[in-house]
Amino acid sequence: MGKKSCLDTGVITLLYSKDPPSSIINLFRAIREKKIEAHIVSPIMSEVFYHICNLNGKVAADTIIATFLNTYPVKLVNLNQTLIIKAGTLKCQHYHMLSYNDCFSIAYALNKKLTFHTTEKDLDKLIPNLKSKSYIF
Amino acid sequence: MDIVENIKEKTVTITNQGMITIPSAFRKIYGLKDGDKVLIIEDEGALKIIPLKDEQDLRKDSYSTVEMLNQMEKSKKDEIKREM
Repeated sequence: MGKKSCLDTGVITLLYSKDPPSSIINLFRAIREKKIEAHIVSPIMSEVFYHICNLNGKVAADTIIATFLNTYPVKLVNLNQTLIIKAGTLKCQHYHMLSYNDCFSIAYALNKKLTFHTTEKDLDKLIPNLKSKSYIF
Repeated sequence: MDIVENIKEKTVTITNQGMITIPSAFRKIYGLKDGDKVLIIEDEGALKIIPLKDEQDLRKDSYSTVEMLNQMEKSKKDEIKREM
């Protein structure tokens, strides 16, 4: 199994855009080929559902979530006490910049020392000890 | 009137091996063919069948990367605003 990573909502949602950027396609190809081990905190998938449902409707969201989870060998992570406390602390510190889901994923990436793949800008300035790869378009 | 478009329900029988047949009208509407996979989930006491699709097909009717990024950015701003 390859490099370990944690995925945010943006990179997963963009995979299902009409014109997914090549960097996103390459990321998911590496995940499919198990060159990257991808971890996703469970509530992130609900947020992906929400964005797709908002744009393309509920049937599309149902199908995309089901297809994604049955296509890519991702590890879905449930919340536990460690994550709840770490994510809550991040929310307190950066409430004006981070959503709850950002906090869950960042908390998990920090605790497990994973690279956080994200479409967010300037996360490295906000949380310097976070290893991140930003996809900016 | 198109009968296929108006079908809403159909009773099917579970075989002794636990299998059911998805009626052909539904297979046509949802583009299901031999070898396709579906996901079965529980939904408020009912079973729901969700077809798994080819990724290229799923992207056809989707929005552009820029439109999706704008939607996500707006949604995050709204969420943070509501929480403050």
